Amino acid sequence: MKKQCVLLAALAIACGAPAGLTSVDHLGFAAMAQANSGKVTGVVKDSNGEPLIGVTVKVKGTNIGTVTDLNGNYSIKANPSQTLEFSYIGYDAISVPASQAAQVVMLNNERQLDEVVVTAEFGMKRVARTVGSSVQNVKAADIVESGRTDFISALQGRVSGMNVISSGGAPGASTSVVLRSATSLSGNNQPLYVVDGIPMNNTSFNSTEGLAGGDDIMGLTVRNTDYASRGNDFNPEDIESMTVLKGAAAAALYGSDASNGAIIITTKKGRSGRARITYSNQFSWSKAYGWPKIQDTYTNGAYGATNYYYTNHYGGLYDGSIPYYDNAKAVLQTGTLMKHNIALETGNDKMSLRASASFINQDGVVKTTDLKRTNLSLAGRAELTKWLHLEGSMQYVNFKNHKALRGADGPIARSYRWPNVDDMSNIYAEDGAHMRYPNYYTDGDLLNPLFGLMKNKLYDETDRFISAFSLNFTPIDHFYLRAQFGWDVSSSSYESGIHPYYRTYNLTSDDANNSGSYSMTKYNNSDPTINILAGYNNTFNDKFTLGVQVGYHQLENAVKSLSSSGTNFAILDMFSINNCTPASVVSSKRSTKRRIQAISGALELGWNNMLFANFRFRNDWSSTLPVNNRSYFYPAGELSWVITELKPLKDLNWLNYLKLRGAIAQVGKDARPLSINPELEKTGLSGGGYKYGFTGPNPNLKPEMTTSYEVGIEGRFWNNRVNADFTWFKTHCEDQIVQGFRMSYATGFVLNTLNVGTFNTWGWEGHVDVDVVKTKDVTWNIGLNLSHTSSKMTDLPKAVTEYYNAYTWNYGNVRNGTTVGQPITTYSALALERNNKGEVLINPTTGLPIVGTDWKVIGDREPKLRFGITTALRWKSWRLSAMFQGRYHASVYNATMREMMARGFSPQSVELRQDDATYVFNGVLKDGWENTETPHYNTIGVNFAHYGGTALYNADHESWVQNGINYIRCQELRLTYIVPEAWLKRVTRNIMQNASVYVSGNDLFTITNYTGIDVAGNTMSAAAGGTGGEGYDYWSLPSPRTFSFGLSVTF
Amino acid sequence: MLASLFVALSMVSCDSYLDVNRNEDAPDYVDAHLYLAGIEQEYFGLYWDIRALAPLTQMMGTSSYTSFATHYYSLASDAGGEMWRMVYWNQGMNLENMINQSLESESWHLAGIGYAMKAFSWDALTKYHGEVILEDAFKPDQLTHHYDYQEDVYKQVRAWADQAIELLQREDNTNYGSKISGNDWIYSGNIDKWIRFAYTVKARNLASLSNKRDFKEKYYNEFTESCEKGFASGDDDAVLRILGGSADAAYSAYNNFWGPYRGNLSNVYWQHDYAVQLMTGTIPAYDEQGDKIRIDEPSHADYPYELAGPEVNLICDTLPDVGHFDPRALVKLATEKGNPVAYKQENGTYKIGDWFKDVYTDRDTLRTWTFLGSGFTSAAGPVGTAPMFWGRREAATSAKDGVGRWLYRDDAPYIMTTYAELLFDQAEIEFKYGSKSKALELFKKAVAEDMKFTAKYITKGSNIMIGNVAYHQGDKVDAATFNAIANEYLAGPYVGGLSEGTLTLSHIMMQKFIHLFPWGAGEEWVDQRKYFYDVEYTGDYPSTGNGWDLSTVNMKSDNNPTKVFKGFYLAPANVQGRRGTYNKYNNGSPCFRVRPRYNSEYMWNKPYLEQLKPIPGTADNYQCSIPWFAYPGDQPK
Repeated sequence: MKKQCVLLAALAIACGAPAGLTSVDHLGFAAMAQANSGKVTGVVKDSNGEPLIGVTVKVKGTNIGTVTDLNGNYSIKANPSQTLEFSYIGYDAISVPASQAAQVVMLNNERQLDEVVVTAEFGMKRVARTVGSSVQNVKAADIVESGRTDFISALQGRVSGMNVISSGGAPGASTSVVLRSATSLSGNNQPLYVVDGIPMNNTSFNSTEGLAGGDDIMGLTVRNTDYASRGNDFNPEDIESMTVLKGAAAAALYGSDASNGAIIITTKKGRSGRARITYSNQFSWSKAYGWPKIQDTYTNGAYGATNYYYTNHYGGLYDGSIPYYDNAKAVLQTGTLMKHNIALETGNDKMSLRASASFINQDGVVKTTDLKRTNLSLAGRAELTKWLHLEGSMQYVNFKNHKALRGADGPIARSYRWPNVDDMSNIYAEDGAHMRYPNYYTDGDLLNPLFGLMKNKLYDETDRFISAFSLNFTPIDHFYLRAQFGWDVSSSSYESGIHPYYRTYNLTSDDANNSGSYSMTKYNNSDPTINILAGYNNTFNDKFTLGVQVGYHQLENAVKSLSSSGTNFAILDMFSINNCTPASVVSSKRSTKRRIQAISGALELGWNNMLFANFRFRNDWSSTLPVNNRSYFYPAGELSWVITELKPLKDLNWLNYLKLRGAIAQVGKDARPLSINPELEKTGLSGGGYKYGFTGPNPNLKPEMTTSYEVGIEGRFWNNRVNADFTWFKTHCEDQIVQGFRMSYATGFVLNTLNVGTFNTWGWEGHVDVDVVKTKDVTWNIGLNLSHTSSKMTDLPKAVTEYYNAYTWNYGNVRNGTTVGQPITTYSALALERNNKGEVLINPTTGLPIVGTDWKVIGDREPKLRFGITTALRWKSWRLSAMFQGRYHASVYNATMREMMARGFSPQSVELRQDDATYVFNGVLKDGWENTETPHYNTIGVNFAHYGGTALYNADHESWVQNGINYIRCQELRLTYIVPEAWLKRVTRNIMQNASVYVSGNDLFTITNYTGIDVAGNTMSAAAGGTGGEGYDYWSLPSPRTFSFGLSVTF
Repeated sequence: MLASLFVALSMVSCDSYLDVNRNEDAPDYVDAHLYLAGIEQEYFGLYWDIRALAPLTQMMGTSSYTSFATHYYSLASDAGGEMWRMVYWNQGMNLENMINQSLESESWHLAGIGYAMKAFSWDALTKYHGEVILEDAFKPDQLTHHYDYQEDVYKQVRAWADQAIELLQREDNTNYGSKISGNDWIYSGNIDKWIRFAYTVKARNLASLSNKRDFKEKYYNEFTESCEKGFASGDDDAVLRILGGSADAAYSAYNNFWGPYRGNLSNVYWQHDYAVQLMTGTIPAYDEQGDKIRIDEPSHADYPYELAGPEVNLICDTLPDVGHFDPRALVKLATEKGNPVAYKQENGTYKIGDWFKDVYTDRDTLRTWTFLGSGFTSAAGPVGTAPMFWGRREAATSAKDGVGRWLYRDDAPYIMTTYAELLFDQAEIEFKYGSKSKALELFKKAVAEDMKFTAKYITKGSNIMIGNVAYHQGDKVDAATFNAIANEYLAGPYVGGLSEGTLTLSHIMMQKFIHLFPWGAGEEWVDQRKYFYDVEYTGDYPSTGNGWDLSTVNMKSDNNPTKVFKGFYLAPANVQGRRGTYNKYNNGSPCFRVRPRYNSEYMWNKPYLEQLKPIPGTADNYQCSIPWFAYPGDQPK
């Protein structure tokens, strides 16, 4: 690795040497600046006190010019009597006498309002027109006003090409975000979250992997549990601005973690001027909805004979003589939410400070579930000297979450199985302690989910500290040096426990030797980051701009988990490892570290404010790859052409701005830690010792490579009242490092980590935003964003006919499976056998469809179109806004309905057995004639009541994948009244600056052709990775319908 | 300041900074002996697949692995695929590492133990699946995995065993301390026993070829030599000890797979009717239509059928009352007889009746007990409903059944292979290819050894109350009573009374069935397949139209002297209670091999399965493909 050392040393010299020199030189420079009356220095800021970078400063009537640096500072050769002209894209140009130009404030140009400065690249700013890839800004206000507790859910529907998949409507549900398309079959596909230039950990705890050996007893997996995405710890109120970088071009600077795009967040750092106190709150009530009706025509039983001991409803007719209970109601409640935010800020021209606190207290719609979050933040900036600026932000988060199991193990699914003739809410047996069985039960086949909610434990708690500091060092004109340090560190504990009485036969259990089981995991994350950047910016001949930057980057992701579990409680109700029988206690510890060192470079060329070219590269050295393969280089290039700068187009009235752009970027990705060497485990068998785990190590791993291309066009029309943007992209992913790749066990392993699989993705995204009405009293704005993605697997090893994600193999034989020639987002299933014409084959004896033994692709979860619609209507002080989001033409696996049919729960199952009706499956008999010209069409009637559900459908799950599913959901509806400012100030004697009140609703309704519970259902936690669990609806908990009100005041 | 920071960074950079890709809590390399216990304990996987094998061999009936009970397979399922997983993954690279590291460090004995186990595992694997992946296995970055012909796998098994013997006999100067003895849960580091084990592996391997035309010239000498140097007494039995501990065990796998705590046998596996018939001497007589013959006034109320004569009931004649009672029924089989019942006392509380004994020592009582066998896929057998293995009809639980009984116990060792089994192998080969007198001697010794084997694992029983209900835990007979009856039996007409002239191959093979019940179902299946299930066929081996057609299998009748397993009838045979049909894809054939693990081969290695001959691994009837070891000659191409 000599080469690498040399490179780093060279970089150190390149960056370090000038820094060292100037730090010595500086005193002289500063003194000179004061003394030399021929030089004018100053700073340019916007109306919010934010420094403006790259403002062109010219001495009027001369060719002398410069641009402001990273901190908005400039220095120009001029006499105090001369006039300085300041111009900047998106701002009104101004002229200021040089003698008064120490502090210049430039105002936003209304006409070019949308040509905003995008915040990008380690907290430094770029002008939108210079960017060659697709970038979209999200207004901080939109996130705050979304009514969501976490900012990630708030993004759903607002950004074209961005898909936010929530794992459900429980407090603390995880969210996964995919920009455009997945680029990894098994790994992380989420964008990188960058806060003030420092990556923020957004992992979700993976209970399948993270409960290191300690959770055999509970069987917690990414299917039945879901832990919050750590990104959701972040306080949305602290966000100043948010920029979504969609393409892989982001990776050239942020590294491979940004290969799926990046979401760049800048936090509020306080404003100069008078001190301000802002307080806002929210109070919400939520109601679960959307579960299918359970039929009440037939009772529990089998073959038409009533027997309440059976959970399936294939008994006789229900005569109404016994009361009928809606047991799902027993586990539900009205969810409530209370949120308070307070922020204090102050500052002068040299420094500013902001402190804020936010409290959330939420009770979920499932009983006993709740979430409590406290955020305390402190941020500010200071101009230490003219040439040294400091920025910093710190946030402390405390997060507590009680949850319920999900899916088939969840309380809803279990309550459907409870006999409806028994009141499930009555949970205690006669002794007041044991779990009660349903009447008609003599022993305990059934577990009471309400008892489980009340008595079991599923809890996690996190303390987290996110901090970032940066120093801007501008010793010489046009040069800058920026050093950033960040540390995101958190400590979580995950507890789960099963009460001794939450088990079958508990009434007869020996209470002197209680069972019960408990598991706890302490899980620590530590992610320190260093970025050091040095650069040079200048403008030549007024027309030509040049920017050069080199950087050194270093990051670490360290994870430590310590877990213990035990069984057989000594004391009934005590969930503690100390309460378990000592012989049963098992402990384990696992630590991993990933480290990356990288150098990056960028060259930005601009001509005449019209044509911009951008070249970047980055070389990473990753600790997770074999020594010989650990270095990888990836370049990117962007081009942007603002054609409205051309003479003939410049003066068109209807066309204000039009830009063509394109980008090509390559990204290398490393492996997960510990992929190249074995990680021997203790055996868990008599005698102990070590053994290999499921996954084979791969000492020959190479970095995987993704190449992406995009071209786009964006424009503003008719006085900027119409804003539009369209991007087409294509991505080629090869040498995928696939985790959990299955091959013959003859490899020595069940799962392998291999560089296999090649696929392409492509698609487009666009948005249009129209100010329909724009008068003084009324404004009405409509925004629409649309996106479409396709993909195709082009290569897999010969013996491997399918790649699938085991976590999604959740109910029946349907899973995320793809094969060569198919999209990567398909379902595969043990499909129905079909003849050459594609007609379903029917068993000539039973009349039932025949299920094959091969896994075949049967549908695509990726919709043809994803869309979001936003609209806002303002009338004087009233503002009404709404947001809708949806999908067009996707497949959804309605596993819930499958199970409800199989169990005889659903009303449709009643129709099938009315009057002893028989059901004839469409298809042809497999009798030897099936592939001839004259196959025998099935006429065999199947008696539903006789066969019962599971037998009737046998192993057919394919039929329950519903294709062509569309939906549109009303995500947000909000009415705000803004108290007129003048009146407010007068009434409060200038104490109160702003005040507003609002009422809002979230997830109010969904219009869909889908018949299951949750059309946006997701079977997996975000922790599972890969192409995710979108499109699986299996006893989902949909986002509940929520009504809120609240106020916001500023003093 | 920044400059110095840069310098500092460039100093710590390079490889040392990046050298963190290891789990400080898990090793990427361990000394060879630390693999040993784990590799041995993975042999529990043998019991896992007995759930398929015992129903295939009519040792057990099941409502769980029913597809195997009906000689088919579980579609798109890993059922029956555990041995595959054991050999390739659970032992897999661990065993490879143990052997290779030991060879490298010249720890010859540990390497020898490794090879001995490898030979044993692969022998079991190929006997079960036929063709397996040998050459392409365990090669890093290998993306193709071809199958190897069984004959080559057989040769390799013996080569490994030979290598084991050579290494174990080599002088080894490694100072092991307790490295082997402390981790060896089979022989506690006794190298002589491991040598005898390796020879026994060879003998068992060769014994399966006894139907080969060229056995005498090709394998007999090697077999005999292996037997002589193999197990010398029951102390040499390869049994894998475990920790047990029931609910208090740190890991549930400390407990035996068959114990009540893990509940795998529970109430979904039962003793099969055929096993019961053998051990109780109740193989029925069938009339010409293949029907059982009902008796009007049976002497034993539970058994209203005429029994076959002593030329068929070769084990014992417990019924009706003459009595040469085989006590193994009391231990190997389960019965509801002797279960305690609680009675309500005058004060309202319940109590177990005084006449219920913890352990029965009264032979006359024991002789009257009824043992009921199950059908193929249901507890309801031809005579009555079979109990589960702990003598009741409901599911087993730790509370009711305690730690269990005999081999069905939480802390019972796993039986891999025994001295008695080796004696039976030798008796069979001598009977066929050597001396009849030697065969007789070996046979008697083998049955006597099985008695010792059976007695060794008896756990004294006791009665308990849970609430108002009484349960029996443990065995219902003690070792002393068992041994006393056993001695009588051994001296009786069915063992001691046999002569060179009256000893038949059936005696040997049927006694062997009892010995192997149910832990050795794998070897039993080898025997049954080797003798083609006693199917009536002409020519070299049975096939469609010659031995079976779509709906029936033509079985030799019990009075056919060439029939080896008297009273044994496959499910589609033409006798009462055996008139079912196999899945149509079997084309009438019984099952001759278990398909390789679905989620390894059928999901991820199909192109290579497809290349198998004569029946491709992907064919609907691959499970009917007769393995090489059973053909008198080579497998047809």
